Amino acid sequence: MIYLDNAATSFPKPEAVVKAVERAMLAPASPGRSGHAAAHAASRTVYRARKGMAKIFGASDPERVCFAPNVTWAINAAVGGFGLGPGAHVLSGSLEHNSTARPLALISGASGIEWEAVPPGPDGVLDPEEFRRRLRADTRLIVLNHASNVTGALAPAREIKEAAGDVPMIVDTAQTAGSVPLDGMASWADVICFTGHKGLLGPTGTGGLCIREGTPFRPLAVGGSGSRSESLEHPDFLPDALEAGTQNTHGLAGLAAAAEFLLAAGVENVRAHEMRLTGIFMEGASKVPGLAFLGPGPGDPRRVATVSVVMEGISSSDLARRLEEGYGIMTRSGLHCAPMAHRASGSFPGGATRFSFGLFNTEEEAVAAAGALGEIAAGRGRR
Amino acid sequence: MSAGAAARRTRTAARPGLPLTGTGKAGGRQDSPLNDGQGDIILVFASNTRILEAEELLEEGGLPFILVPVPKEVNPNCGLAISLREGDRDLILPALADAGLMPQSAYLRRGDEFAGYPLDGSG
Repeated sequence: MIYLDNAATSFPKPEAVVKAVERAMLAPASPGRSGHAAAHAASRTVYRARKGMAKIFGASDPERVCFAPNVTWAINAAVGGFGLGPGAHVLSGSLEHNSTARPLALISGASGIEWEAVPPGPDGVLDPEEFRRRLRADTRLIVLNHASNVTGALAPAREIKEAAGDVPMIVDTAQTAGSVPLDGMASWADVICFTGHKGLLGPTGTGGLCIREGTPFRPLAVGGSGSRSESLEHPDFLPDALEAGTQNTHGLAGLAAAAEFLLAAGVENVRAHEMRLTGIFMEGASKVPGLAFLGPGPGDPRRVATVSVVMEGISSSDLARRLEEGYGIMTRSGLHCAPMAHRASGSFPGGATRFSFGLFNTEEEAVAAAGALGEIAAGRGRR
Repeated sequence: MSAGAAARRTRTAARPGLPLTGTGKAGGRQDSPLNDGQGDIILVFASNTRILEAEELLEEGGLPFILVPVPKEVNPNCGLAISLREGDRDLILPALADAGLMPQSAYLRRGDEFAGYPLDGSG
């Protein structure tokens, strides 16, 4: 098997992550809810995950890190925190995943909020000047997918934030956290949303938000928090405000181990490895007749290790099937939950076949993937 | 779960009559104060995360404290509180203040009696 679907979920997970989850499941786990030793150990586990994520994003205060089941939940909570109402104008990129697009579509349809998506340039990359040009007096929020899960295009997020001035920005790091160094992001991004199971190498069911001081927030759900138990009002302080209900201690044990693994390995080294594999794959695939890349082309560093291709004469799903059946290469075909990105890339509705590399992929696998494309395109593909 | 049980969890039981010194790994039972005339200061924090930060800070500093369940006599929350000997106040409270980790409230415990404890140094 050659696993090239790391943009969906990373595989394999570091052994330390697997062990951490196992250890957590062999102990009682009710963080912040009781005073006994097991509850305290569970609390410390969750705290370790909080500290790890704070370090990944360069946040000085772990209390600003709030956990959620996934990045979609986190984005919904983040958008809701701004309490936007009729007359508000919201900007986003045009390469958004449905995790941002659907919450924005929901509020723009129901609440009289105007949502405007900024298209990428001809090179497939968002231009900060295009955001600046669209800013209005009533622009209240920018929501940005840091890297497209379809084209791999890396958005110049900090430059867009600088162009936006005082307008707050939510950054969706689903495709960058753990794969791209982000250790300064917490100093300028108003809300960072993350998922634990992709580049961060943690378990599914983990994710969250890192909220900059002074940024508004409000609970998406209320309930038990282990704090202010005497009150029927949910706590208004972080992280409790956004963490109703018992947290996913088993998953967060894995996320804590994953963050520690990544910090020891160095995210910059992960980035270098993944981009080396991406370069090898794109260079090989660029020689395949009838094959087109979506987004930034070979040699362009403004991308992550996610490469989608369209091959003449074969659908995205058939190509994915041929790759798996003939070569054991696992990719993802279709629209990747991101119809906006495919529309912006000219690949809607047929979609594309996506190759996404991760830390545990090898150069040989990148070469093999490009070679398989060449054989299939030439009509010599294995069956 | 009694306060003493929580203390047993993370701390070596102190010998009665000896002062707590040196490290958070020393400790004493809050329901049986040491025979030195001191009370215990109970620090209650706003959130579970905040107390974990405080615990980490004090542990790293080798400061004397123990964790106890939040006494129900003073606060209905279900988590933990930091307990220190009254005489160690000047070791611990400035360290917490410097780190921006001051508790939400504090109480002085003598036996089964609790009283509010001012955090402004007037106590």
